[in-house]
Amino acid sequence: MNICNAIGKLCNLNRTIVFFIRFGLIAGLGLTVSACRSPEERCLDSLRNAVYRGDFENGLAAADRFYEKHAVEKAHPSEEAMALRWEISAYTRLCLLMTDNLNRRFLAYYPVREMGVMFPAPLPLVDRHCYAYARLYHEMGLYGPALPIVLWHAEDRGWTRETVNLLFDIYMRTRQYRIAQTYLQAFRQNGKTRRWCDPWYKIVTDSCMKAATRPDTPDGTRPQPLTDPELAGPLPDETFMDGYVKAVFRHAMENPDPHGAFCPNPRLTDYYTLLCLLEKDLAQVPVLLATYRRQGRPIPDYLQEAALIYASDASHAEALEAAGLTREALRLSPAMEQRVAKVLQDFEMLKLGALPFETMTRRHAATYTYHFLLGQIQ
Amino acid sequence: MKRLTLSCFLTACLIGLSGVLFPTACSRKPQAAWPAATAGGAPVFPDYTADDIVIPVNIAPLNFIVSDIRLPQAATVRLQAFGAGTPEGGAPADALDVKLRKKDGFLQCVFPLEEWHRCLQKAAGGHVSLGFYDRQGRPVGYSDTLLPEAADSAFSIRWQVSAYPIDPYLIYRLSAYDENPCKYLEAEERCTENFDKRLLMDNRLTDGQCFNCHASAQNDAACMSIHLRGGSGGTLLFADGAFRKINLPDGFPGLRLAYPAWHPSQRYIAFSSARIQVFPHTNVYKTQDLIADTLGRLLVYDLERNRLLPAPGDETAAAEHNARYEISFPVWAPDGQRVYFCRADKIRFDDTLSLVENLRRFRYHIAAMDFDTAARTFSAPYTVCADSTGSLSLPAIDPSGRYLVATRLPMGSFPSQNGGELVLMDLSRRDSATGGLCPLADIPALSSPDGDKSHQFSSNGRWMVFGSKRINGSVAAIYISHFDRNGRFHAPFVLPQATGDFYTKQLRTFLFPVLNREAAPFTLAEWAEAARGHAEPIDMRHFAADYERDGRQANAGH
Repeated sequence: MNICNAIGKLCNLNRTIVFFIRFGLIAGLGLTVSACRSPEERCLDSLRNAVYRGDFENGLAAADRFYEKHAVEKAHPSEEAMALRWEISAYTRLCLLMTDNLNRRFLAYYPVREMGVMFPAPLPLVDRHCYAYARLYHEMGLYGPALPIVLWHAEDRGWTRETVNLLFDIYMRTRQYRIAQTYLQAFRQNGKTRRWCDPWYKIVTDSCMKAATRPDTPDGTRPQPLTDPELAGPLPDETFMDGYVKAVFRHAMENPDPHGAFCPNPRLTDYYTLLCLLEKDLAQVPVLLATYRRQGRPIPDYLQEAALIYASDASHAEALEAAGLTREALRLSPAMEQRVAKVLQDFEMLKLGALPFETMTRRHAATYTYHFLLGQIQ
Repeated sequence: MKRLTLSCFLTACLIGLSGVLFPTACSRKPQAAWPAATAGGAPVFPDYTADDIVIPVNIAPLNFIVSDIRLPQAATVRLQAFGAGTPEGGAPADALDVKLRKKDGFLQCVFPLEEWHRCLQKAAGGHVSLGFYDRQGRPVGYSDTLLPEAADSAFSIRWQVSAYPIDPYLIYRLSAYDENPCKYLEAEERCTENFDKRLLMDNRLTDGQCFNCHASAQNDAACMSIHLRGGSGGTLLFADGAFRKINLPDGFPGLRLAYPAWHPSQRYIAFSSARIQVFPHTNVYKTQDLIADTLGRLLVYDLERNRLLPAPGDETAAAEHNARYEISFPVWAPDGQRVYFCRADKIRFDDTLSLVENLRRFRYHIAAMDFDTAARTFSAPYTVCADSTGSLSLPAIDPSGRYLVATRLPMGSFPSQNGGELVLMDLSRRDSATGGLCPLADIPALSSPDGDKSHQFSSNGRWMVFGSKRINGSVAAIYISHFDRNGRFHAPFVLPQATGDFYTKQLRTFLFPVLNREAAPFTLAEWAEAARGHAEPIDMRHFAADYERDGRQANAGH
């Protein structure tokens, strides 16, 4: 009996050993695979997954972790590594925008070279189209540029659940039901895409049926006359997106949306605000302040700084007060006044040679006032 | 006994479970969506139900799908061929029964090729009639809640069959997304008599190089040209059985050899060059950009001497004309003694006007100039036709030289914009009300709200192919319309495909259809090799002075 027990124990021990060996092998394999992947790849995966889940806070945290260690790219980076960095920066900007941090933290990424570029398309160097850009345009309500990027992205990398969703959402919002139906039918030919487009089936089909009974549109599905008069441009390629955003924002301010959507939408406002601030176009400050107030949103930090700089001119301050844009009404933070004052004070010392430029940069590069006085971001 | 009871119980459970699960699994697969383009009523797709459709005697079978809601009992389609002169109610010369088969969620009607052609041959000059029957052979009624008065009447389709054949080969460009830039471009050649097709051009073989503007000389595939853009760009010519690649030498950055038109002698090609500007809509519901072209000018290339001819007149007159007008889309008269083109006054942007108001001032009319083939000189240009409501673009002339079809756009001449309707000009008539210009007429039989353009006539002039987005508003398909002896277009029908549901899931846009009498005498590999090859520079000595006088240094987009 004792012998039997001993053999039993030995077997159990053997099982335990085998279990640990197997566990060790699997863990080792996992670690090896993980170690083989570059930090850029790992970061991009985390970012993408977070964005796909709609968890932009975590996406931003993943980007921050990456930039803490790898803010500056290695010397002579490979094209592949640079491509990954560009894509990480695109996702990071999307996360900044979606977490209302674009006008609070964008300048904190000043050591990251590729973050200095706003939203070009396609990605520089690699001629690739990035889901983050399509999503970003979509969030800003700019369906015109969002749609081709979705399609180009699909040409590059194939369809994914996220691009399928974005595509149908754009077609539904722009009321292009018939082409949505064609995509629906095409996606149904493949088991994977069929699964992704199934949730859209009823929405698209119902919309088509409703539109077909509407005699007030030229073809039953198109909401606008075929030749609508609002155009932006001509826009040189290198500033296409920025110029387009400006045109859309101004158009939205002058022409309220007949379909009832709030225009300009908050994401577009944030983007436009950063554009104006980076270009040091402080003349737009009153319009921006009024827009945030109308949207019932707190004034972001950079705009607060810009407002204080703008109001430092007496005539501007009077104009702001006359428009009801007082500091109290806008709830500008007292800490912000101190921040601006401190940067201005250090700037005076810098001019006198009493403060090294590096110190000035280390202390204040993440503030808008520093950028306004010394920055060169385009 | 207990075991038996347990087995029975388990079997019953399994059956019950499968009864619950099976319909659930099936219900996850939604029915195929009937195309919205025909939601207004047509029980077949593509909509081949218009009263006035005329089909060529040699066309491939017009396969279609049948709505199982509007024709729920339909099981068979009977095609009956009635020859020319058959009295109403007369016996058919031939008949063909086709069983409808459910495939991919649709009731498919696919005609057998040989029988189809046999029937069409017997119906040449007459008509074919399609009846729908149920399993018992009774005619099927048309059921539609939108058209209740049409319910319960036997449904049938009738097509006139023209004895004039259509050219058997059709070349078109396929792009992945509408007319906006895309990565992958292909050009296919399709036989219009059946469903054979082959790839002629593919930019994946040329490093993603963009290509456009393919053209053949008067429906002759042995004489073709294609414009290539990008790093090793140029214009590829196929003539005398071989490829030849030409390009403008350095020093002419504003010029491109685009929008070609071959002279009937096959010695000259008229090109136009333009700078393309993109104007995205600030209306966020518009997802297609508007493209305007400026700095347009006419370039006539002499293949034998490898040089450009001054046009119009001498070099001085050409420079003056180019300085005053925007020119695009040339096309030769069939006798080669005249070249037509789109022309607009050059305008300076007026700061007091909005952008769109400025662009609307780019209104093109059709102008022409006579060509002396012996002296190789052009006359002074003159206006042929103008339209007060729009801008005329993409002229195409029927082989008789009497009719010209153009696209009327809201502004500019670039076809990549939504909208655009085809209009007809009778070049043999003059309208005194317009100061002796040719009269212009709408073509209601062809009109659609989604934009019709890129039209070309067949070699016998009895057929016109054109691109239209009428199926879904975004992706263009090729339509064919009969043009009769009286100068009248008949209801168009979409280029038939091997399966009737082809256009329900077609995501690639068909652009620039060109009909040819014979197959293109080159292969994809030969094309790719030529496209990658070195370009021969054009002799520009006679052109440089004109170019410099005109002061054009802007970069052209296309």
